[in-house]
Formats: sequence, C-alpha cells, structure tokens
Amino acid sequence: MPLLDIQDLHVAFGGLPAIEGLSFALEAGETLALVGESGSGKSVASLAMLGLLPASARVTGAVRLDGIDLLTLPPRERQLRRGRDIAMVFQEPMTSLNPVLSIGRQLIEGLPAADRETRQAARARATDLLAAVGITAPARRLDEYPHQLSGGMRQRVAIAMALAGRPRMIIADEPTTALDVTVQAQIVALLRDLQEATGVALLLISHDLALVRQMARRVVVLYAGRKLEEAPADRLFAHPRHPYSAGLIAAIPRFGAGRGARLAEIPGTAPGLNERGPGCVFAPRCPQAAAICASPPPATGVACHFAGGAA
Amino acid sequence: MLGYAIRRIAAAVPVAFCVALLVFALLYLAPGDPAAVMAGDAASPADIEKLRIALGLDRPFLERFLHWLAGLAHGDLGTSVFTGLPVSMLIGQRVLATAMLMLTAMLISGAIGIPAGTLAACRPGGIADRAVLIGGVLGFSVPVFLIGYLLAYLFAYRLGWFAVQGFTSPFVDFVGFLRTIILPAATLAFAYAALIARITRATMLEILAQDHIRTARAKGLDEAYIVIVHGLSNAATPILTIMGMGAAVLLGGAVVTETVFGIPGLGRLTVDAVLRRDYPVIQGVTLFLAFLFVAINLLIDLLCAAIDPRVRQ
Repeated sequence: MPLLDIQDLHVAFGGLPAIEGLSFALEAGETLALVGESGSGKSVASLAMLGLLPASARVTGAVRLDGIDLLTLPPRERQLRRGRDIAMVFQEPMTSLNPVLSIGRQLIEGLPAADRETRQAARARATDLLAAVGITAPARRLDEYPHQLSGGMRQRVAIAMALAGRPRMIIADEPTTALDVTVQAQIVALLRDLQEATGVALLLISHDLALVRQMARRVVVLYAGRKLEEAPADRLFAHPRHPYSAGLIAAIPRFGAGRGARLAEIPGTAPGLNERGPGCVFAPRCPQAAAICASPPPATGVACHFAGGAA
Repeated sequence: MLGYAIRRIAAAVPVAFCVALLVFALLYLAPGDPAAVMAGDAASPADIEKLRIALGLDRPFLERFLHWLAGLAHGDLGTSVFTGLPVSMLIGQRVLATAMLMLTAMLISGAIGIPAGTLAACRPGGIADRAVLIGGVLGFSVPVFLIGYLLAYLFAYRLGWFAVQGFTSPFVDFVGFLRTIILPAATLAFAYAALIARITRATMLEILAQDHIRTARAKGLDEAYIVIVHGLSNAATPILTIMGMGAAVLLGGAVVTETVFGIPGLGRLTVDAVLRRDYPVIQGVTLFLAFLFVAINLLIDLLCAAIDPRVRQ
C-alpha cells in the first residue's frame, strides 16, 4: 500500500474547477514531483491534502494516508495529523515565519508532546533540528527572530519546523523559488540529505524542471487542474509523451546552446478556471491539435489522444 | 531594548517642550485679560493696569514664557487666581480620581474590545462581526453624556447597584471605589471599546491572512492557539498604538464624564477653571494632561518594543 494515495481529487471554488480528477500515489521514502506552471493547481492540491483550503473550496475525492481518507476525518483529528503525518515547507521564507516569535518558540510548538516533556528536552530537540538543517550555532539561534536571518537561513528554519513533528511525508511547495541561485543548490542538497537520513517521503511541487530532474524519481505533470502525464523522471525527460510535457522540457534553457539562440516556448497562455471544456485542456496551445482533441482525452495513462493510451 | 528605551525617552523631551510652548502660546493668544478678571467688576482701569504689571503680564512673550518655564522646572505651575492655592496642589488633589477613571475605562475597553474584535475577525460576516460593526457605530456616535445619564438612571437610580455621584479612593474603601468608578468608567469605555474593537478586527483580518498563519496551521496547531498566540502577538503593536492615540478621546471624555457623575477629577477642575477664567489653572491642567498623553504614548511605544523584536532594532 502506498503511503499517500490520492484518488480522483476535485477542488472547485464557487463552482469553477481548480483541480479535476487528480490521482497519484506516493510510496514511503519516495520523491515525487508535481510539475506545472502558475495556476495549474499545484499549490491548491497540496493545501487540499493538508485540509488548509478556505471553507469556500469544495473538495471531493479521496486523500488516503496509510489507507485512511483524510477528507472524511473530523476537523479536529485532521488538525492533529497536520505536521505529524504530513508537514509542509512553503515557498516564501521571508513571510512564512512569524516575525514576533523567536525561532525556538516556533520550533518547539510544533514538537510532538513526547519531545517536549521538559523545557530542556524541548530546547535540546529544537537545537538538534537546527543543527540537522545546517544552521551554525544552533543553540544561540533559538533565541533569535526571523528578521535576523537571511532568506536561505529562514528556509532552513522552515525545513527544521517541518521536521519537528517527525512527519512521514513533507510537501515542499516551490522551496527554492524565492532564493538566490547559490542558496537554491544548498537547499536542494539539504532536502536530499535529510531524506536519505530520515527516510521521509517528499512531494516536491515545482515549475523548475532542472530542480525536478535533480531530485525526483517520478514526475506528475499538471496543467490547468488536470494530470496530463505521470512517468519516472528519467523516462519523462528522455521521452515525454504528452505534447505539453515535451514543450516544457524543450523550454528548459540549455547551457552552451550558443549565443543568440532563441529559448523555446509554448505559445499562448493556460486557460482560466472558467475556460476549461470537456476536451483536452492543452489543445488550444498544442502543435498537434486535431478535431478529436475536442473530445475528452483518455482517462488513464497519458491524457492525449495521440499518445497511445496506456503509459 | 535598553538602548531603544533611552532613545525613545530622549525623543520625548523635545515633544514635551513643544507641548509646553503650545499650551503657553494658546492662552497668551486667547482673548480676555486675566488681570481684568482677577481685579473684579468694581476695579478701575488704573487698578487693572497695576495688577497687570504686578503679574508680569506687561512683559514680552518670550520673557513671560521663560519665566513660566523656569517655574515649571521647579514644579511650580503658578497660583490659582480664584482659590489662591498652588495649581500643582489642585492637580495633586484631583489626579487620583481621573487616573483611576481612565485606567478602569482602559481595562474595561481592552477586555471588551480586543476579544470582540478578534472574534469578529475569525468569522468575517458572522454574528460577532455584525455585532461589532453595529456596536462600533453606536459606541462612537452616541454622546458620552447621554450614555452616562442612561447608565446612571438605570443602574444607580433604578437598580441601586452603584453610586450615582462621587468618588471613593481605592486605598480607602475598595468596594466603595468599585461602586463609584464602574459606571463612569463604563460610560467612558463605550467609545474607546468601539475604537479598540474596530482596530482589532481590521488588524486581525489582515494578520490571519498572512503566510505565517498558514505555516502555523500546517504545523497542526490548535486554531484558538494560532489566533491568540500567533495572531494577537502580531496585532498587539498596531492595537496598542491606536489605543495610545485614542487616549486623547478618553481624556476628552473624562471631562464630560466627571461632570455627569460628580467626580472631583481633573476634568471638573478644568471645566470650573474655564468658567472662572482661572488662567493659571487652565494652563497647568492642560499642560499636565498633555504631558500625561505623551507619557502614555511613550509607555505604549516601550510596550510595543517589548512585544515586537523588529521595533527594538
């Protein structure tokens, strides 16, 4: 049984679908990447898994963790599982930490009761967590505040906070997007090391394909709220089967492509929430689009009439 | 923190000086001749002129101001024209009642306004939110004297739970103090609580939508804990700052409230002094209240710095 099993997840805001029929599974200790451009529903999917969407969102389907559907749990039980079963690292380290509470306080409040039986034990555990994410002088940092740390340091603290609840799975929503390039590489290395050391499963949400290629074993391609393709990372990058995946990969800037070479792009923009018909959502921008694309694409495997169905 | 406190206190000194200058200038420019008032209706122009020279009222503005300032430095606010008593003594006799009235009003307003505003912000458009909105408009638009007389009629006259008039020192008789202070403090608290509730609601709405609140939720923390610890700790600075500025509303309301409830406080002293054109008293009390306002805001700034580490920087 997979650790996390998402079946036919639908999310709608005011009748408009943000995610339609998303299904995928994550094995224990695995890294899976959820890839898509802005507005594709990546973040909505992660917030739906945690149950952090606003009350106005309609969520249906199943999000099973160890076979238990989180969507049907009473709110209180769900709340207790957040941070313990599934933890999350957010995109923006400058705003995702509370500015008026010390780092130590924010770490300690997320510890399971067993880890904070005494004040000393809690502080010791928090110090260990900071050390584990590569923060120097961790004991002293406990009494500092977020504004005293750089962006990269704050993201390390955010990762330490995600680890605090000893989760089995971490959702990292664009964990490096807001950081400098050199710091990005450090955070990527850190996430990989931590995963090796703790065996935590990682759901990486990103539009950065270079990052995905480095980190993920499998990739789910999301577009306009629908899954277009799911494949092992090396297969996807070598032989993308959906035209959208192919377009995304072709658009990765390549080193040594020569001065003046044009970057490849996918023409047009993604459809808004109210522009999504029953046919292939990518058809308006697809170079291979034909009359058949107005009908729903295959429900299993690659979501393209020309990809030959089963993955 | 200590460095910030010293800087902040140092910055209050020029403010206090400007306040003193303004208070002095205001009465200097005000129409009416103090010497004529003091001399009485029967005095001849020559008598008035003699008195004016005796009081130093014929000296130039700057000289009079410096003279007054020198007196201030010694705690000498002048002498009341009407009673012949030192102004500092008059203030000293009455400051306790006003201070207690304001303090109690602040406590009541905070205890009502902050939870009400927080509840409203947790469910925008909900019952609490609408109640705060309506209560806010009422609290702000109903005049203080009307609320005062209504409360006094209902709770003191009809029900007899509280005293209708007067003031008892808490150091003499605490129960008596409560019986005399609660109604006037509640009267004064109306507008102030409305102000606090509205600013709390607006601030909390903004803060509860911030990223770090989402982080706190992702940690699996209790919603009540998130709102109180993560939300209010961030909202404290703007709420306290508005409370400090709103203290002016409280000072103004105290004048009316003390009159309605017959409390021998600074507000009454001011009203009486104005009616009698007792210039030194008006000047002294105005200056004292202005300094009080500066001191309250200084205290609040220090409190904000204690709560928010970014302010201390």
